[in-house]
Amino acid sequence: MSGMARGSLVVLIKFLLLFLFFCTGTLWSAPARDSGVLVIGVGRDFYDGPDSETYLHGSTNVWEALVALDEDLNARPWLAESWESSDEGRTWKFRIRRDVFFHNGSPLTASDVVAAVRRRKNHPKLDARGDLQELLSVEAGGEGEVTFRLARPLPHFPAMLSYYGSPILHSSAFGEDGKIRAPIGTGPFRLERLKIGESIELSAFDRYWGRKPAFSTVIFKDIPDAQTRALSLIKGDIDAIVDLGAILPSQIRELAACRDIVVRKSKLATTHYLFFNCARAPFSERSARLWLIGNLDRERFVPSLTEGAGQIAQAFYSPLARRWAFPGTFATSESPPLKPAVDRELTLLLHSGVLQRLPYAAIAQVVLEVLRKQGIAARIELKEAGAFQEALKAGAFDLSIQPRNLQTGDPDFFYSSNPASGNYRNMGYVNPALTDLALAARFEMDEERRRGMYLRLALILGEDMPMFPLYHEEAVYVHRNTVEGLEMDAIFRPDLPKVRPAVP
Amino acid sequence: MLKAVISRLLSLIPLLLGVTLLTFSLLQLAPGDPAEILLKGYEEAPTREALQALRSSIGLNDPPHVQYAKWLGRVVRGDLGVSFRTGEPVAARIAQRIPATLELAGTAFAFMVLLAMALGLAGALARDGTLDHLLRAWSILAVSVPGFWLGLLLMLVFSIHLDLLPLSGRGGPSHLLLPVITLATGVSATYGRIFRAALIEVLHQDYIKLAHAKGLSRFEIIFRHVLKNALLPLVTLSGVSLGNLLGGSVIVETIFSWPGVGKMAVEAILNRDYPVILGYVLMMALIFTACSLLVDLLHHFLDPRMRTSGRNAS
Repeated sequence: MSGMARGSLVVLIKFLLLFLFFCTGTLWSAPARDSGVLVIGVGRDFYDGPDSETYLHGSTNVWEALVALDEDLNARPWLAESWESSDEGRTWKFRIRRDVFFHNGSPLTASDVVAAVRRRKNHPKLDARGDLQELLSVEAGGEGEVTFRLARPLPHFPAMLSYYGSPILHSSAFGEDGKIRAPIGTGPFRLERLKIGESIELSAFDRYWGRKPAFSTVIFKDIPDAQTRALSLIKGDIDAIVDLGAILPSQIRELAACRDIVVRKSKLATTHYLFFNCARAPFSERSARLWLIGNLDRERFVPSLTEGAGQIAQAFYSPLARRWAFPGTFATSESPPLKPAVDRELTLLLHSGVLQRLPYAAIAQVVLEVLRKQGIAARIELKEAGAFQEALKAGAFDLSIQPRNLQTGDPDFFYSSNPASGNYRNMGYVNPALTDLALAARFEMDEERRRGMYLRLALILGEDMPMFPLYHEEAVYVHRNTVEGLEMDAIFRPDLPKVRPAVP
Repeated sequence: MLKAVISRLLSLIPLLLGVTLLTFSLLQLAPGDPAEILLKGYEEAPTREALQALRSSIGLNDPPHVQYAKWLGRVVRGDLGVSFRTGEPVAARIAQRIPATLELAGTAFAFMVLLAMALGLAGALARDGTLDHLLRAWSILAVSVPGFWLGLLLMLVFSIHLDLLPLSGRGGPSHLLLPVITLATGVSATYGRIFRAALIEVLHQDYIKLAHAKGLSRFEIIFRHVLKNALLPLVTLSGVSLGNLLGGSVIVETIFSWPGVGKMAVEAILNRDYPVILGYVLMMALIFTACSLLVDLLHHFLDPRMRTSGRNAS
């Protein structure tokens, strides 16, 4: 090596060492974190913006709804302390709690609730689910009463007002155009600092009406990469990871092996299905659907592919809704009829956006293997959100694996947005008897009669099997052992006031 | 020279028009309804009223050519529109995030140039020696390693095991080190080899032999005569590389949770947020063009032949 080359190498090494020295954490390390700060890693930005329903995602605990769902997905009082219906379910009176304050110090009034509901009613894009479609009027009465008048009776109206069904922000928080100026809610935490795409810093609201938070500050950090999120937790940069799909099934074992990390599971109101295209041969034939179902052994592949985060489905939707789930209304073990005659390659359609967090690709391989063993050619088609929706609308698929969430806890949500939806989400399954019965059940005020209707609907579905429920999801979340009390509800929202520093 | 600059600036107009029109057309051709995607139609079926209201409020009911013309009309007035998803002004969003991307890409660029020069110089001076072979092997390795893998490896070593550097996020200079190395390593290896070739060519020129004969020191020869003349190819490539670093920062921004425009663009594409995508493309096109113009100007000052040919032509 020449002298000049050696010199250059020395310069290079010196340069690198100097750079390393001046940039290492030993010189400019981040200040130690305050013990009153809880840092939560999430995989997306919880900031939705002024044009959204709520400005910030519900998991931030900044805003609250009139109604909450309990662990059995029944409606329970929250900002509304009670409610009653009259006029055969066409009029609903909600009494508002009197001890609730907004983050700007104003007490919660019936007028605020009316303004928040009207904001969504007057701007249909803020009511994408159509919770308020039957609403004729909403008025504030005396004694903190809010009266909703509906066009038709809705027995499950309180459940429809849970969570995103009735986000309550102060009437000064938004303008005539529905745009939110500031997220002035009533939740246990209020917005302190927003770094879009980076972090959301919240501080405990000392006039909160419920349980007082143990942490004075909560920071939601947007860490989009799954490996970086897990490493951040291991390093101690964050205390918990609590977003849907934020922990990959493949990471569960690794994290469980870490001494300082607690892996927990929470039952979700989400069920994952194998959908058949009922408008296209071969699965337009019930016998073909039953043949494939009979050949799929869920006991064999669900526990392993979900890493134990899935419960084999025995009902068409989440069994958390105890009153409304009817286990055993479909059979999977009856001897399958003869395999269908198929003279083309079948397509199993998947949404590429969920593949990282859900084991759909592996389940799809299992389904393909079953088909191939029977001499039926099939392939997986991956499409991103837009193309996926177009393919569903065009019916350009034979099979598809998708999730469905029972967001309101009421079976009407499942039927009206799936088999009785009248749009592409019924996957080509049209059964007038089911559609009529689902519509009648929607407006039936007698609970026992309604229950009977939903049992009949489940039996119709069990007979036709336009979809095959694979498993009910148990979502995984993790935290360091320096915190405790972290619990998630069925919609996977953390109950932040319950979280506290662990006692050594 | 001034004429050339003005002519280049004027040529920007059709270029930017073409780039944005192409992007807009591709967005129109992409499958899926932006309104449905924005209302999370994948998770739950939005009502017709909600879809109609959203389409109307974000102007999707207009024919595509009217949508583009309206967007262009706003851009001419300095307004990039508002995000379909959040309703925020796009210009403000980009202005908020571009410093992070420029900080990352700019530092990576400086690191890349210095490293490429050091690697090239060492390789050229130790031509066909052990060090040169080692550097060649290093170059092949550095080019072959995918950025996301290198990033994770650096995190594991320097942040988890050695606990020397922060893992992710934007903060002080220490936060920059791992993303910068991840972003610049591959490019610097390629450019190091190119610079080495340029240096070897210059080292064999007659004027270098003359300098040796005149008794100039090796240091003087290298830094006064060789480096200056071998820099031209590196300068040319650097202009392109800054653009590549800006584009390549998308993956690095995701891995290191770096709050830049790359991450914003990915989210916008997934959400079919047309104004944000168009704003991003417009800004990137401007930066690319500015870099290219800067390289031409540098060439003009570094290479006396260009100045002479310019004078002769005039």
